[in-house]
Amino acid sequence: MAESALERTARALDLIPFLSNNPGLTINEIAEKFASSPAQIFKDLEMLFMCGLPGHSHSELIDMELSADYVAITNPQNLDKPRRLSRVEITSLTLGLELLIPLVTDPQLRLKALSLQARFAKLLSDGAGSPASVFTSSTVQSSECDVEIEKAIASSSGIEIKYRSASADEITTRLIYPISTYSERGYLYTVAYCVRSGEERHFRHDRITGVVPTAHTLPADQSSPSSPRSLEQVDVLMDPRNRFFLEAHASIVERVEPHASELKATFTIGDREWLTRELLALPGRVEILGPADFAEQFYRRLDAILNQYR
Amino acid sequence: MSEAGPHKSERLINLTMALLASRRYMSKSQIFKSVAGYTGSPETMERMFERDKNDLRELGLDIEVGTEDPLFDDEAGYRINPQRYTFDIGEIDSEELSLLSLAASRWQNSLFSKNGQRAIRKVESIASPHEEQDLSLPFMRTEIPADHFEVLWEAVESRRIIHFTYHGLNETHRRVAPYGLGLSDGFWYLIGLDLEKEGIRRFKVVRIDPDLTAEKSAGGFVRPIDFDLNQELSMPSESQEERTATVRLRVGKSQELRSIASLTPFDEDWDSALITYTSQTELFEEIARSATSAILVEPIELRSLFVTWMKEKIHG
Repeated sequence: MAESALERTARALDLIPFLSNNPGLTINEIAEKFASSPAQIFKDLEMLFMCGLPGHSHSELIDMELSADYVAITNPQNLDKPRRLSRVEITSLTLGLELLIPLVTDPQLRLKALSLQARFAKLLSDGAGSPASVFTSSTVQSSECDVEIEKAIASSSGIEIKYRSASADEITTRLIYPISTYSERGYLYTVAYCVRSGEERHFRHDRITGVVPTAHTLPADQSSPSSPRSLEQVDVLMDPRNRFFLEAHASIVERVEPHASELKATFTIGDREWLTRELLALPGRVEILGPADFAEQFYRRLDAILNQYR
Repeated sequence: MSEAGPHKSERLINLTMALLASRRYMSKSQIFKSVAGYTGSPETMERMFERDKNDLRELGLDIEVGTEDPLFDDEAGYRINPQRYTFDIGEIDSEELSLLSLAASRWQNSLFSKNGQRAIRKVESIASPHEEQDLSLPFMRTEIPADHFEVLWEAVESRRIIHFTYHGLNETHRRVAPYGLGLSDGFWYLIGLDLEKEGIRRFKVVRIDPDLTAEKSAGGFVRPIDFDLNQELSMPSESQEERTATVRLRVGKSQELRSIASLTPFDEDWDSALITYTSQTELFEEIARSATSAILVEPIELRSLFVTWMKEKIHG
């Protein structure tokens, strides 16, 4: 779709102060920064050449040096400052900081982030006056191992961890090479190459009960991911209350459809033990439609649990 | 038909520069005379200016209307206050800029990622040029809401009542005054006054049918001044009263429960665990996850509730 004159005007108004403050960029770099094409940016700049203050004499026009590999605004006239931030722009930054802050372990950097957040939030209350319309109550549990893992990622070295495995229900000691970390629904996870399993695994930080740094670095032949585990599909009919579970594990849910008063879900999984335990922990009716051997294992398990109470 | 192309943009920029530069209110005739791009009959220029004024306001520019001398019935004039054109956030150092870039770039939500990038470009227009620092912080994974998130945001901001189908336990039709949006533990929620049920309700955005409609008239409701969105969002759904339960755990197993229990040996195969909990649901879930490695012993009423809860999986 062709862009409107208004979108073009907005970008042009933002280009002038940006380029005044950041001289010497190439057209390609500017295009990337403004999520536009080099041809479009060139046209914008050509247009800005023609803009100026009333009078429109040579000294009143916007002036610049313009070539494909060097752009510099030599006279921005009175457009040297950026337009004020809109409410949604401010919200994007303050809320983004809010999510980031629990992940910052360095106390000084954390203070900086908090002060930035307060400064930008103030712009919101100075503006239209109405309070913010978006909030987050996300918290992230921090663990003692966070800092050790950060160090291991920075130095590409291995760490030995004691891990409380959710699916095997045991504590294991493993040598892992952390690659990256992420937070999801209040927990921090590390993606790491696990020597024991010979593949990339995700480790939840609060399940790591001990960390010992090592001097090992990852051998080159192990850094490429090994072949993925074989996956299979499992069909389950469940109580509609379990929509929450399906939303929380959207990445392994292939399909969900209403089935009479229940939900029919298809999972794609690589770890039967994990799914079995999660299904045991769901409220209401849970019926495994297939595969048949998975269903058999599940009901045998359920029976064994109930037997403990007879 | 609306104008397109470079001429219109050029005129809008010239107009912005003129209104910013003028200390006095500029009358329309002054504008038509001095700002490049206004041509045609007086009526044509009038219409052009009215549209241009609205367009600039849509870009967030604050165009003030006034007269130089209120005692005389002067023609209304226009100007842009340079201080209200821009924003003042003080000095931004390179570490702060890296934090902001990180905060803006990690959105997987299109509304916030688009606007976050725009905000960063504006901040980079005032911050001293810098080398991006690698702060190596974890990546945040949050729900990526569908396109109707933008409609919800607009409805909240312009205070428009919305109608939608909600896929909760049952499918229901709702009419809601949207008070705000909230991100809680990775999921987006809409918080608002349910006009049918006459109470504040929390709706999961993923369960709101994308086929929603917002009423035409903006300002259709007033959000109470004392309404605290953040408190509403973080309100626990279950009572937080602390209770204890005794659970028997197989030796060397049931690691998750062990991590929150105080343990004493029971016999060769089992330990006795005293567990303090606030959410009965979460306790049941964790015991069920332990399968045959955990047995809920006491209180006896809780034990029988657990058995009923487990049997529901078979009979519903």
